[in-house]
Amino acid sequence: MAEALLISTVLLWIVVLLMAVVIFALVRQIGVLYERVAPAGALMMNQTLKVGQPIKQLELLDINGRLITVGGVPRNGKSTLVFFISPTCPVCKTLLPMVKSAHKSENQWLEIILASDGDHHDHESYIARYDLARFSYISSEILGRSYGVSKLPYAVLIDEQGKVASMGIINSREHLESLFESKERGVASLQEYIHRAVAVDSDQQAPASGNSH
Amino acid sequence: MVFDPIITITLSLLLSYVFVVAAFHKWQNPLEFTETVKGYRVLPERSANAIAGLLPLLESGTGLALLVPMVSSFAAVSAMLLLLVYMLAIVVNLLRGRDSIDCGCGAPDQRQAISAWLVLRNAVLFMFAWIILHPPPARPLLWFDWVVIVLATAVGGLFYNIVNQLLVNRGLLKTLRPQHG
Repeated sequence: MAEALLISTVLLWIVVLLMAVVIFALVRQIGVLYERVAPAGALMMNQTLKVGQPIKQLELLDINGRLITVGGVPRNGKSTLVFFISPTCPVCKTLLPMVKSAHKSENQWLEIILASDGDHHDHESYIARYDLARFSYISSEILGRSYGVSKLPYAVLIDEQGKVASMGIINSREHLESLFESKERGVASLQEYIHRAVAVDSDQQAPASGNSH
Repeated sequence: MVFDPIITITLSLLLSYVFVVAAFHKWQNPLEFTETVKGYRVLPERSANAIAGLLPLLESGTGLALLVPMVSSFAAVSAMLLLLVYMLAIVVNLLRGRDSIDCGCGAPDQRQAISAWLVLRNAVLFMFAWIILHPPPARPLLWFDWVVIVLATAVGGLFYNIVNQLLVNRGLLKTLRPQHG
């Protein structure tokens, strides 16, 4: 009897261990699934700006003391991406390589401005450490506030007519690309796109369900 | 209260694993961890570098010392102090309403924000350390005791990872929730 108990206990332990492995694998898969589904597009979350709204022209000094014009109708006919970051935000720096590559590949139609606020020295060491000298870097609280930015990293894409083309929280390359994509397609944001898709979907389904009754 | 050696040994191994892995992740990404320490905003920013360097050392030291019976009670106290500091730092930030800062726990691809669940998790680990602090009366350990210890440690370690992954998932799910406005 004692031996049977011993064997059964060991067996049970092994089963518990295997179950734990299976649960871990499942939970991990759910995590991966969430990750794959999530970065479909940048979330808007903005109470101040609206897509299509012209951006008021602001004259701001960048970190090197140069005067930069943000908003208004651009003279060079390029669109502008205002990318809000901060040296204290861990996600932001993982996105910097991507912003640099966008700066290179989208150079023809796009100008990128980095925007932040806070201590001057922090920004200087940040620029040096991540090699950001090629960008106009503006440290200004006014800019963030007038664009209604509440969460970082955030980006606002201003089209060549000085209107908001798209905007949203940027957590990955896909998010940034979704901004360019929505500008191209003339869709304000991921939410609007889904909303439209759902509307089209239900329009198509309505007659079908009518027939079945 | 006195616990059986099986329990204290298992918990020592488990806690040791938790601390060594935590230290390892922090060493993998020292720059990022410094930013995380700054993100908590509980100590002056100038000390962030020193703290970010010190914490993994303390964690790995604690983790390894837990495996040595002679010093395991010191290690248990050190573990309790570390966990207490973490819990305080998290609670302070939760009370400030800064609930979206990075917790600095886990691997770089397992980023999670601080939450009350994290405090609970640390409270459970704190209790484990407290149990280790109360050494059991000596009794000879048979082979079967060691089988149970090894299997229980493996299950415990997996369970710890499951809890962490669930917390990560929770954060990911939050970003999926539809936003209005």
